[in-house]
Amino acid sequence: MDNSTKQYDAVIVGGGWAGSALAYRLASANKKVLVLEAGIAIDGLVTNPDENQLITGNRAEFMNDFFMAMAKTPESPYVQNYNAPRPAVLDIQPIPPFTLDNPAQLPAGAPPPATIDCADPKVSIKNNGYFIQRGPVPFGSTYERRGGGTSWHWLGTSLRMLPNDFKLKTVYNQAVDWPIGYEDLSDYYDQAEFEIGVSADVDEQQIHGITFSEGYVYPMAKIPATILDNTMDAGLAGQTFDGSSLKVTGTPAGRNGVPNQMKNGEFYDNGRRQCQGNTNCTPICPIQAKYDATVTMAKALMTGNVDIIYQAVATNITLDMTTMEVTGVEYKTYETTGGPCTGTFTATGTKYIVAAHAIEAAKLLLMSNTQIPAGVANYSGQVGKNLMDHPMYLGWGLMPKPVYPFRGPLSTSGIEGTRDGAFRSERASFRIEIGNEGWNWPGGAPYNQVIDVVSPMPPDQSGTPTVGIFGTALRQSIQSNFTRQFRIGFLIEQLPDADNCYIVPSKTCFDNLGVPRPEIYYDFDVYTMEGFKAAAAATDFIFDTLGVENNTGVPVGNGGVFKYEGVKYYAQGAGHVMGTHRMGTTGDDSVTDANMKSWDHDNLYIVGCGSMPTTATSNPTLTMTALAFKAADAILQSFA
Amino acid sequence: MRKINTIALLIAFAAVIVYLGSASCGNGPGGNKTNVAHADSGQVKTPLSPVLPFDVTLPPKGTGVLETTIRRSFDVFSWDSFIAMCWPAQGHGVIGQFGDNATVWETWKKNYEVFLANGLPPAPWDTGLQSKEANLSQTGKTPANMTFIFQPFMTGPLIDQNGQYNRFEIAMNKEMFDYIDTHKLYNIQGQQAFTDSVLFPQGDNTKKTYGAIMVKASWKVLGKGDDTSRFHKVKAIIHIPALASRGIRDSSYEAWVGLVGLHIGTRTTISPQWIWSTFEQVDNAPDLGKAVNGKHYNYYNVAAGDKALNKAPAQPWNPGIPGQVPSQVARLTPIDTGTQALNDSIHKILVAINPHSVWQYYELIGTQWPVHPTQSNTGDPFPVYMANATLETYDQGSVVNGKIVYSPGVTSSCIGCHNASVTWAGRPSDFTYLLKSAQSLKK
Amino acid sequence: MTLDEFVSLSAALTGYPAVTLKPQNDTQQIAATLFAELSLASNNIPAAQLNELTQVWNSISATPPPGLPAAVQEKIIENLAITRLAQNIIYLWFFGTWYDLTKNPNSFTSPNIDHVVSPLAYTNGLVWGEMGAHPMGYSVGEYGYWANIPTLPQIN
Repeated sequence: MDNSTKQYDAVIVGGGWAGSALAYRLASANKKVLVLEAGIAIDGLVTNPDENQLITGNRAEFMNDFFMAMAKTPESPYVQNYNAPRPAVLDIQPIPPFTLDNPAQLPAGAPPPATIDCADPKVSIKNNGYFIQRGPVPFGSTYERRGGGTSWHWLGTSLRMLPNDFKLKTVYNQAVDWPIGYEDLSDYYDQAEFEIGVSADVDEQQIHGITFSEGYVYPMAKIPATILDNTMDAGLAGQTFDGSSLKVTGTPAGRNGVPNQMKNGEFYDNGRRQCQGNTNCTPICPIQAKYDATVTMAKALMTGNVDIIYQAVATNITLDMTTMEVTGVEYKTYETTGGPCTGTFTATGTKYIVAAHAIEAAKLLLMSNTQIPAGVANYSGQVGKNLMDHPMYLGWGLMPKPVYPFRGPLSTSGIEGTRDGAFRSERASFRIEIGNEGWNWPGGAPYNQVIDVVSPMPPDQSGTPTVGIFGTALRQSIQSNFTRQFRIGFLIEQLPDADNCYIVPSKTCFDNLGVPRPEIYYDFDVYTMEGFKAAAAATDFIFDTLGVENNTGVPVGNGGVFKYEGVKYYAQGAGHVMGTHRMGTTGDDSVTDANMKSWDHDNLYIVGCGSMPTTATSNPTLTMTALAFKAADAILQSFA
Repeated sequence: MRKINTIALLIAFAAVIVYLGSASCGNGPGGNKTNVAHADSGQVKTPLSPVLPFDVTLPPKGTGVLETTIRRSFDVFSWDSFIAMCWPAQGHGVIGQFGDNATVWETWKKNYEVFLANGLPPAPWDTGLQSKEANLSQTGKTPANMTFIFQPFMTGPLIDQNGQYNRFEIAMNKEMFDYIDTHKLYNIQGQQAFTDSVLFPQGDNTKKTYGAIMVKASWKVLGKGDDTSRFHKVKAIIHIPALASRGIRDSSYEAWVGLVGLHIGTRTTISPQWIWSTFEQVDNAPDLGKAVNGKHYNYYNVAAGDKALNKAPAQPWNPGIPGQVPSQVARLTPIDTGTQALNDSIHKILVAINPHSVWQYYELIGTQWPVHPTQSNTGDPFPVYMANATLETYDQGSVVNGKIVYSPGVTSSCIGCHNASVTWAGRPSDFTYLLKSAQSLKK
Repeated sequence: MTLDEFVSLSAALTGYPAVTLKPQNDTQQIAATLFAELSLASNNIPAAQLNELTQVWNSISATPPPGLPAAVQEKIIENLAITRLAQNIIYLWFFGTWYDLTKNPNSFTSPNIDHVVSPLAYTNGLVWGEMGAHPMGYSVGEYGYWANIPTLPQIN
């Protein structure tokens, strides 16, 4: 466990998306790399033979836990680890004094901090979740802390950002511009799409100014559309909403489709299976047809240039106060997921890369406050600030004719026309994801609806038996209703808000290792809430156009409720956590430069979705991977 | 050609050894219809037959019981296939008569002889059939050229007690080869141009036709502690890929390797999802918790404990790295008692031929078949899960809190997994991943 | 209740033929797995309720098929003493789950003893095939099947 004595070219904190991509790139260039991963190992991804003694997990075990879970949430395959805890969607609740019936009226200031009993870390995390939510609205997104990180339960959506997304300030006078433009990232997008293995059609993706290099083809052909996609495409042909086209297009996906011959003449093949439409991208693809970061980590480890230490929670970054360079990363270890700390060690290298989750990365930098009270890399004061997501609005209903949900990948198409337009001067843009899983997300389908007819809830909500349907009537009910279920989800843009959306390490609540838990302050501004309002209006318009019976109401995940202009909305987390160590053009208002190098410390890089200054509307994983490759290039050049 | 049913004659002939006259009893590739049972001097008489079964022979309709008599029928099919395929290839007596023998299936086409790097058509079936030199360069079950960069090892290598990596190879019979050859499925362009459903020939008892057969073999490098008299052996060229970070250069050397696992997949009329037979050398691994003190296992060390049980080795994976920690493998699903009884009976017949027959050290682990072939794409396979400890080492199931758990769709099931196989055009490839080994035609 | 009684009752409650629930050459033994839930002590099934359900079923099980659903409706579904247990048998087959008998399954009150019976009980849940789909997380379809209209099972 103790690698204190070994000197590495680079020490990477985090074995998830960005950490795997960076480790692979640096190791392929013959750099010696150490990865510190807070969570448990994945079978086959250990480097020290002794670590076979550690806890490891594998897909079969995760699938077993998923099968056996009553609530098949994104977290259901992945058991909680009290020494590297993670948030869970079941813990998203209104924050006192707000309740489901009396939700926060936005915009509002932060409520008085509620008292939280977190004396026993395990009990507190088990009962109330990992986050210390300060509100006024709960932060709805979750992540995983284990080898491969949150890639275990990503959907697979691999959209590029739009050129205008990089210059929101210039074009729409909102928030900030990125320090780079689309053209700076275009090549890295090619590389990220290759690494992830994206299935899509170039012609279809050339929207809102997105361009591709000459002769470019995606690694694999577009994944076929579902019956629902085609139904919506036909029904919405030629329609617009608020000036935006409602054209339905295929969504680029990090799932294996049919290999393409790429522009270099090679046929793409990553050796993994083609998608079988298990309709389970989130929480877990049973056959790894969907890319996850363990694929890249395996390649990194295969080089022989990478050591990885699991169950190693980084807790402090140390500095040379003369040069201001980072000198080491202190980490704590443990033997079991609920057991005590077994030691504190220091990892040392030439370069240091924090590639933890946006919330964990910020927390680590802020926790590292023994030498600089404000924390490492925080001259700008922006570390942990500008916490953003794509808060989601869900609309659901019954199609007039069967569309046969619960088949195919979770989502295969979307509506992208609404992602950009003049309206962005006034309100948030959004993309509309078309879900192939019926009312599973908003309505707990198929369980809740079957129970509704078999054991109707008595008026007093008690356990008193009631009379329902059975046999043929039940079968007919399932056939006629479930085949028509569908939902759409709006991924709504959110702007950076340093004052109202941020995380700090809790001073009072700790995990089982004694590491501070993230204390989260979170709010929606008028720009985003106008986006919700538009999403609700778009839902009505789309459903009317398609002749849909609109069943949009209270979703099963209702903890993200808020009121705006007297109307209740239920925000869902998208899992797209961004902004907490944003890049920029100066060290005064950003944490890193465009290469994700800290403005304050010459040998420290901070890489991940936290690097993103604004959210745009595209699911951020592809962009994060492209950014990781960009950072890797810069790091390699810095060695020269 | 008279096909001798192993089971029917099993008991009667178990201990009978009759010397017969000499003549070639060589069995041609793909199940040449040559009968062994005529009297030849110097020949051993045995109920075992060099003739491959066309298809399974089931109990009369409605009389079979899944777990016993129907399973037995498929297990007999497996053993009959194994015996015929391991029969001496070049006319030297009967199986195991001289202890070990070069086998029929080793004369079949290897995947790398069919799917050439330049995508050109393979040489005709008869070319090079006599070549006995195995070139075992694969360290994972999947052919190295099936993956694009350098990671053909999705589930990890298997390392024996001497720190040596297992080697794998894939071969196919003439019927399977002919189908690929005729339909030009040996390169990517050919597969893309092929718009029919890929449907390999199926063995048929009525028509007396052979179906496609594919074989996946698993070998260990013989070394310290191995009793070489208990293995089918060949001399092989062992390839070590380069690993610059560890100073390992791309190299090859010659070594004796012993057969430790053999998958046989046969497409038949009764079982269009194929019949999946899997055999292992008897010393591979103990059943979970049943290790015998003092016994030498190929992939288990009683002293090492079970903490790393059935877990993939530490990275980096390269067979050239010295001093690697052996895999610690236990079988999670014991062999069915009926299957074991059949194994015992056939071992007796093999011993009767020659007490030193290496073939007595191979056992049928199980046979998986589609019980209701038309019910779904996978046809309701039974047993639901099946794994070879040397080929699906890390997918046998998991031990969680002392309990074995199996996960549908993940835990090894031959039919379940192979159902997902596709061609380069993305269409179903009839339960074989082999076609994905095809390369682009280089002009 | 015997396994045979359980299967015939299950057929009446689910609307599926008994042979579908417990096929000849039963590879996955789902009927036996689900039946075992009825004798699982931790499920806290009142003996009287199980006995009454068994007796009632035996008293009507010989009803000729055209009249059987009406008899099940009257004697079991509308009998509040046993209907909740009958509903749980429906859930076993359609979801592979057991719900706490003392609660409405949609109340989500805790603590409860709700649980999934086994991975195979989940993957064999009838609800998925009923709508022409497959259990989420377990598909044997071929690539692109989702673009084609499925055949729904015949309802008799």
